[in-house]
Amino acid sequence: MSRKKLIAIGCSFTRYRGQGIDDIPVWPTLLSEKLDMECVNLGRPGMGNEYISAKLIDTILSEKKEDIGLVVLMWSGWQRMDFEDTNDNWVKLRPSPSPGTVTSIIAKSLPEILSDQHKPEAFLNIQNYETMLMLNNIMLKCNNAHNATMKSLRHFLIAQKLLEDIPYLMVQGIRPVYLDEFIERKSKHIWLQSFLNSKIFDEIDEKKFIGWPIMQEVGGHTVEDILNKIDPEQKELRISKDDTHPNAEGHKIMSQEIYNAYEKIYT
Amino acid sequence: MRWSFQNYIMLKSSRKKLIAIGCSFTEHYLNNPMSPDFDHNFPRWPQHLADKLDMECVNLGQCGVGNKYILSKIVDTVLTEKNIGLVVLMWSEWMRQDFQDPANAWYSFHPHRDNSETEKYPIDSKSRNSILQYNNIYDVTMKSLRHFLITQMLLKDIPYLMIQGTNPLQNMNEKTAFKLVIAAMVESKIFNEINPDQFIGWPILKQIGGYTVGDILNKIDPEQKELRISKDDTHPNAEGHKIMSQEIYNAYEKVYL
Repeated sequence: MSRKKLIAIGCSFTRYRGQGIDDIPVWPTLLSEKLDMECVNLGRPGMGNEYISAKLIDTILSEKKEDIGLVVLMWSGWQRMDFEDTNDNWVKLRPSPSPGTVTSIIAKSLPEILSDQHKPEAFLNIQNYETMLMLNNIMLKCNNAHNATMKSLRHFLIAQKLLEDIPYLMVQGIRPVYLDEFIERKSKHIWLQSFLNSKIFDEIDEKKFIGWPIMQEVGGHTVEDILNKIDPEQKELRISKDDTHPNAEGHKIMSQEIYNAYEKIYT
Repeated sequence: MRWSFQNYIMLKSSRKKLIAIGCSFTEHYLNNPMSPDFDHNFPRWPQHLADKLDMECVNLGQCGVGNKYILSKIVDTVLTEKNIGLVVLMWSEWMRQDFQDPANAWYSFHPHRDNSETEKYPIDSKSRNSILQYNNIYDVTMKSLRHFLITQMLLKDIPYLMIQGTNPLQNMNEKTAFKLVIAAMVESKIFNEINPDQFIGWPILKQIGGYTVGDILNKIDPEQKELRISKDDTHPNAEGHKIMSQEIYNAYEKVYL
């Protein structure tokens, strides 16, 4: 009898492809071994929650329910914007409040995209820094923290409804929005209120959403928080000081955390 | 029993609700800068349909919005409304992007047309073209197909109908764009999952046997003189909305009566 499938969907915290370190065993591989399931890793570096939702739909349509052992969604940054080109090529837009980051989008993204087999045309045509800056500023206003939060809450609820008859777990991987750095205290308070007061907030099944309600300020946690609790200086569980993706040891901890939640609910 | 205001309120609240979601083809707006001298205060299709079905009309249409707004409103509605008789979704242009501000107000951005004079955050043509490279025809086609499927899945236990209101994409007459959209739709796994009984006019595009609300109106009024506001403002007029409601009612009868 063939093994059931573990379907993992997320960003670079789920499938890591960094500077020459491609082969670290990531949490989906480790978890599938623990569960004796076949690993289907649909993670893609740089992607946001729109991508995760899209891949979830593809999975539901292409996989037989009885073949799925578990779906794990590791949600990404809420302000990331994902766009699709033909043949499953996805491009990303990451509005950032820091002009320095905008520069780095141009400097870093092109080689990254070229090496990443993403279709480069969309980026190659945006070579003018001022155009990029304006695009960034507009998208930052449009896709503000509140918009991104409401959008992500709806992604969570839709995923929960679509997975009603399939074993699943969710967890927030990276920090959802960069509140401390980019949002003033007063705005942060308003933002948290809108998060808590949303009608969707109470609909999320917290047993299946590890770390719900995500934000430490309201008693939740992300994967990053789990790692930082063990390794506050980010020396032991991260690739490096400049690349704070989880390393092999970090992925072991992540897979164990998800396994513990699986055991509680499904065994 | 004497008829009182209280009886009226009780009767009203006990009726099932017709939830209508869409763009300017759905909203009961009173002003439109495209035709400032026209009296826009006439019943729209949701009101006609609610009257026919003896339901309470909840019109969640909003001018200018796209399909992200429509899907979001479905998620919010399914959570908040208890006494739903029918949900009707009139899908909008696929290129539109919708955003929500901290006061929960929605605003939309149409990257494919120069609306800079009325946009909340005006954008120059260079940036507009850049956005179109992200928000390309393939991307918006796939996003809309997913919106249709998610809606169908979310509403599996609630009576619903869908229809495409406006033309889904501009430049549809351009051969390459048209070919790309057809290929994206037909090759997608989602295409065959859509229930054609509940999606009026599926698969939307005339070239593959579908139609939109615009096509329904144009079939009766090819010169767009009888069923539209004016030559410059081609939104359906009062007569157009009657025809739209009848079309949806006919589909409702087939599926649910």
